[in-house]
Amino acid sequence: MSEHYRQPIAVFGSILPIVVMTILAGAMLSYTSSVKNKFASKKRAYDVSQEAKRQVMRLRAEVATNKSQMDAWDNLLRTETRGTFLEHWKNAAKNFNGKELTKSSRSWINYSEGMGKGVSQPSSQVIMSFVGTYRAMQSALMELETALPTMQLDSLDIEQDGNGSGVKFKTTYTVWTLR
Amino acid sequence: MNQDIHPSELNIFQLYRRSVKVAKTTSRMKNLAWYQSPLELDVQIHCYIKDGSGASCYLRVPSSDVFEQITGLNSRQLEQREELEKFIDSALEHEACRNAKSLGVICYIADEFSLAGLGPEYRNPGELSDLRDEMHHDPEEVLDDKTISTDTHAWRLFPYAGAAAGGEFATAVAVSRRRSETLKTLREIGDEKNFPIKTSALSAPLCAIGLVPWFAKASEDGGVCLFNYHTFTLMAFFNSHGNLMVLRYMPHANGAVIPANIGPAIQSTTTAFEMEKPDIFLVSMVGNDLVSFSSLLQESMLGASVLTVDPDQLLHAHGLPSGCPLESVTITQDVDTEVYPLAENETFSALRDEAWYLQDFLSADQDEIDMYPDRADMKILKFGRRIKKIVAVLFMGIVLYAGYTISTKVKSDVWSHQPSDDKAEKNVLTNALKSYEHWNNLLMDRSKAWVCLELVARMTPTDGSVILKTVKHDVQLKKESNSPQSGFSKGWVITGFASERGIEHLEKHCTSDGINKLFLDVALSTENAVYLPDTCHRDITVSLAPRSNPSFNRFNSQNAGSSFERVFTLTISQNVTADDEMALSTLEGVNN
Repeated sequence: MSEHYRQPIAVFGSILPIVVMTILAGAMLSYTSSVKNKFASKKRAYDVSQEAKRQVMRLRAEVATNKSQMDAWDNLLRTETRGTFLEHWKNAAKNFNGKELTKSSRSWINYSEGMGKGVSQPSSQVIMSFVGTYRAMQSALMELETALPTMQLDSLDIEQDGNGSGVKFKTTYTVWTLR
Repeated sequence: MNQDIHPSELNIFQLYRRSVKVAKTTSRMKNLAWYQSPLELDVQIHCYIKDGSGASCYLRVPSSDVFEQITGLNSRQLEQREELEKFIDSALEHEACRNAKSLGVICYIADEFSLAGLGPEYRNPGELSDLRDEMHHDPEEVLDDKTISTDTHAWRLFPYAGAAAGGEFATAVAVSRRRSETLKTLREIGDEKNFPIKTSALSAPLCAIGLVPWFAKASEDGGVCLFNYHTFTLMAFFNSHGNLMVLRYMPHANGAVIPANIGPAIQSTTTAFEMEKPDIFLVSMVGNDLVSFSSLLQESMLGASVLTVDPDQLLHAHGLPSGCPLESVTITQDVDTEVYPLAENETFSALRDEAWYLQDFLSADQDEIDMYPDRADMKILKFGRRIKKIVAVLFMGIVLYAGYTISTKVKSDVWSHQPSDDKAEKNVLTNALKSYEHWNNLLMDRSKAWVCLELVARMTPTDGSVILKTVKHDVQLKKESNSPQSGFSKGWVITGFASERGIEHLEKHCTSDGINKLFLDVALSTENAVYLPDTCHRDITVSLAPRSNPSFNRFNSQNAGSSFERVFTLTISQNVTADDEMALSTLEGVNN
């Protein structure tokens, strides 16, 4: 029996091709594994990014919902001054004559001793005195407070006017300001 | 690559390429006949070389039950390649060979025979198997006569199963190598035609010994079989069990058909083996007339029975045509041991089972065998191909899997995704939202004068039984450490004058249910949520302190208050904790 061909056939016919294909398959699987790992890493980043996008979308929706309100407040806060405050009061009191409602004094201080005290948001305080009827006063204050939601009542004193011509009202408001 | 180069001169890769080429360009991988014995093949040509004139040829196709004589080959044709090729082509044109995929050529060498003794060192019958191999590959080592030629003759071992203990247990049989080139040429023709032609050169006398059970039985006095050929007569001596004790060979002198002095020769041997009246069988293997031979033996061996075997009768008994070699009976027929019990003894069992009479005297030499990969090599190559296919399929599977995996991942949105910087926008939006929440908190209707007036108005009856003197309302923050929210408290201190009925009216509000109802009414009518009493973070307390009016004058009221019997002080307090939704944020807002 000749065995000249046995080893060459075994080596080149079986072992070498199997080894080569095994190496190639190993390399292929290794590369696939590295791609999968990279993909997993990218997927994590992608998921984070998608979640961030969803958060941004939610925030956009919320901000969009509030935008008109916020714009109105922003406009109010940016444009409102002590001068315009007087205009608001005039508008509120225009439906009443002097007998029904008369503003007797008004003073401003640049800080608040009421609600604004201890709050970081800047504020000022306005103290106003009126003489008038109860319902006229309530109606005017409602109009004023509706037009200027920045006003928060710190105190209200009511007493009979000394000469019996009406009721004396003294209001102290904290007014929120931008700065 | 030169196919004539011996593999020992090729490198490992060239050897592999040759193997692959052989597998691709020949049928050696698919056709099993390349590795079978000629007697195993379906188409066989039996060539009987009885003398120097040539060979008588017979075609045997077992599947078609064909055994017939075909055109023979003379001595010149036996040595010419073209003639041999024509002979093969002609033989394969036979109807029975139409689908032949291989051809076995079996030569019966009957024109020459010789025997030789083994060396004195080989006396152990237990070494028979090793001796058989050694005789094949290195006969000089085994033979007693070291001067005999191994170049001109091929030697094989033949056992004597009936040898006496310590006696000669085997002999060396020689056949001339004169026809080895003819057989090699036939094999080469097969190689060229990619058609397996397998050859075997059998010694006709050894095959003839296999015939004995068909015509002889074991005898008390033993037996002697004489096989008469053209140039020699072979004498086989059997003991009382029919086991072969020894072979003797006697050449025919000067063209005679029987050897000279054969009578004394037989007598001396039978005497040596103490065989008094052995049965003598005389078989004419090549058609010689043996009548005179029989008479001669009868005269020489007085008392012994001499029986001449009729070859035609033997052939007809086995369905073989007249004139064909008797040895073919041994080769082609299975012996029925019940009918021919001698076939079951040690000699003939061993001859059959170990194929002693089928030994190929002119087999291909090692160099010729080495030129082609053998059957095991082809099997390994075929196995390797299957393995490679399987591995290739697995590899393709892996490639497809890897390709699909990589492709789907690389093509996905995830892979091409470039992380966008949403932080800036998110910060802007978050700040906007925080700003909104901040201002929404600051601007809540937690303290409005007109609602406060509504509370006082609703508390005071409209029937004039109560006159208010002063109302003092204030709001105080209640800062809690470690909290960004601040609760607050709202307080009302109301003084005035009231009749008894007015006091009763006020007392209705001075219960928990009463004050809560008052606050609820105010909250619902003004839609001011801070007055809603039913939350767990708020509580409302109320107290009424009525007393007698010191300036009361029923008949002369100087002012409005002096007409009322009672004065009172009503105190209301509402506490809102830092956990309440209306609590004030103390942090500074974010500039949008």
